[in-house]
Amino acid sequence: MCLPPQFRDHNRPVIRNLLHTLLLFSLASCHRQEIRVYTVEKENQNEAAIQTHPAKVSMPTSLPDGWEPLAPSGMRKASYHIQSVGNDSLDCSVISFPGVAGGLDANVNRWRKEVGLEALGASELRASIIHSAIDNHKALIVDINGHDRATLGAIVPLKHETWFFKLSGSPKAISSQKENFASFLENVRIDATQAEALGQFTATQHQSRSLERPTITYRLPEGWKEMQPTTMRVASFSIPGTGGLDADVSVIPLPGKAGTDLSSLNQWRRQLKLEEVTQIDDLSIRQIGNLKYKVVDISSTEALINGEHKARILVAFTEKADHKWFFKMVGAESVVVRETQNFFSMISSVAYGE
Amino acid sequence: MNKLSVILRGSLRPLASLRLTVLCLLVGMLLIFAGTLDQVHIGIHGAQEKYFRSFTTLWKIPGLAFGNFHFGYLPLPGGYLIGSILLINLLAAHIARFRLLWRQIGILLIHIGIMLLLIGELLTGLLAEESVMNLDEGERSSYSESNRKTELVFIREIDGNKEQVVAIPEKMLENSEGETLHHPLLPFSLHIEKFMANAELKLRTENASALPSGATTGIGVQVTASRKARSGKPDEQDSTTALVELRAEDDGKLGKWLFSKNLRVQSFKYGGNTFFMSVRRQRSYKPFTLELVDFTHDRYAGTNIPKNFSSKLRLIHPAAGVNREVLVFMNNPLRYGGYTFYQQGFDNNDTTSILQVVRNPAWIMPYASCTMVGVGLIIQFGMHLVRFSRRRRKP
Repeated sequence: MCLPPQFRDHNRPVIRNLLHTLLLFSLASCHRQEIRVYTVEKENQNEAAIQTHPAKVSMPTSLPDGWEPLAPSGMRKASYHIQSVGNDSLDCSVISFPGVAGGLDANVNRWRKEVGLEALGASELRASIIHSAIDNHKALIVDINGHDRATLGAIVPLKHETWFFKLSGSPKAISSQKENFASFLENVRIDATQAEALGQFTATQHQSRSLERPTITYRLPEGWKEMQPTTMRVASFSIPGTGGLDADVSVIPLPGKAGTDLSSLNQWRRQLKLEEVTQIDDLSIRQIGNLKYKVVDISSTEALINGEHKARILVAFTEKADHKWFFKMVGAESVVVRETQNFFSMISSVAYGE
Repeated sequence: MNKLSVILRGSLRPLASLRLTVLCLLVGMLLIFAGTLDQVHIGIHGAQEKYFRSFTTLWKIPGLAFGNFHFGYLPLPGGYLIGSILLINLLAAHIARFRLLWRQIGILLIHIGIMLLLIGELLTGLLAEESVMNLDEGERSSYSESNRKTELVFIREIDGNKEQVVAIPEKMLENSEGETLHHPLLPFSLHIEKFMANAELKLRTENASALPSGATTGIGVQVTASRKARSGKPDEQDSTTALVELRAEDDGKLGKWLFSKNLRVQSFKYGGNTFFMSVRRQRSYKPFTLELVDFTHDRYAGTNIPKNFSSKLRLIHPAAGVNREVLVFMNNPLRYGGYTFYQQGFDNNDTTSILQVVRNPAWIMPYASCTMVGVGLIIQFGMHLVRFSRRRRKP
């Protein structure tokens, strides 16, 4: 393609004028850069708070079997050693960085390089990421399998920081711990609304707090069997059913608000392989004893127990003594329906300790 | 027609060539095609800067590579060049070829409208500023932050409840690499040892083999920083990073600091003052304040697809005696003080509203030009219709 002949042949002054005009445009496009000085109202700040308001992220106190907490070190907010199948061991680290921490692509590609894989382009990389949620916050799940190393990670971008939950080990060991890792992530609590700038939370602090957990007394319904409390459960019961269809009852106090009602509801719905919801329709308020409880009663649509029976979850929860108390019965639908009256009787008998 | 007019028209005729118009339109189409393809790699902002807000550009034609060697490059005129030539071409055409006749009023309006559109885009490119304001519910702010540009700030407390900010724009840091910057309000000078428009930061404990950042003090001692290509993608921000040595006349070298957008604020005591130092998104302060009273987000039932989201804001401008509530939602921005606040997004479980803040002195021009083109088309085609119907009525 060439310019028309008349443009090439004549009128050099005109072309010169054109060039002058273009030069003017280009000069106008050069933005002047200079140091700016301004005085503003002092922000509520100290060294850490000017830019970063770290979220309060609490690690689960109840860990999957084989998970051993290690002392946080360096930049690790929490660290776990996991003995898996055979002699394989895995490492789980929880790290946070301010801001976007180099960006999603760079971090995922760094993990890929660590397991001996090539970096991916942006579109391939985005396609490999699973979008999920941890305590109602966006989480990006990455599953990277190298030849002899693998990484399963969750990246949680918050307003001022990014949290990285990373499980690394052999592909076989990672595969065996996938469900445990998912369960671990489900129990992570994120409170991004509190801008307590300097109160970064560590696993050690949380463990020491768990020693001070509240207690309850209750009347044991007939046929229920008391089980040993765990680090998370202050009370635990087993209800034997016919044909091996047992139900499980747990009483768990979580400090503070412990996430939103919607996030809890969706967590239980996921357990029953139901789709997540954006509005709470399955929640009722019920007076039990002296307190009002929120009650959720949901059933699975599939036969989840032994492939023959539907499962049902009945939960009552309330706020008392700076904790959110969850009373949860889960089991075969027939057993849960049968034990509903006993479940509420037990709750009405509960006396909360100080 | 006098002689001067004849000479002027004759000399402008080559610039008024219709072939030049067609050539510009064809090259413009090619430019749009190249920019659209490249947008996948460099993002919408990158494509806009590289192809449309430039005078010349180089298109890396995809697929033309032999191994690692890419041989398919095509130089193209940028949007500013094509737009300028089109504008001159149109002006020249009017001077050289068109005459002010009533029957050509439609064409004239269309052409003036197109000229205004071209000038408007140029002015928008040169003068418009885009930034964002993030507000949590209950939070007040009187500044917005640039989407792309960053600044290195030195903040010092003065008068108890105020702070003085010395902000050095990213571009100046880039242009001053290897040089020393001075400012009368800073008791030390800044020697810019290294500037990285985008960098990847890693902890040295996690990456022991990597070279240290070069910092001798502050958090930069613990990290490594490696240069990265700029990202033009809308959902990514470059991590502007600079290794800066602070030097004082009396005390000599005060240490090398690594400042990065991905590093937290660092502090430094010198001369009886504490300086808070960080790289942050460039701020633009307004003479008024906005407070987010409430943010609402409706979704279509049973889905996560947003149906509507809106921000109830309180606009506070004591100097103008303004203190009122306004509602900003999709296609209903707040226009105040030369700024337009659009509802752009939300975050943090629907408790943070993200407002796009646009200051564009030329915002009226596209509306005016489109109206003129529309009216011109109606007149032009109306005249043709009247003429055609008259001709048909004749036996």
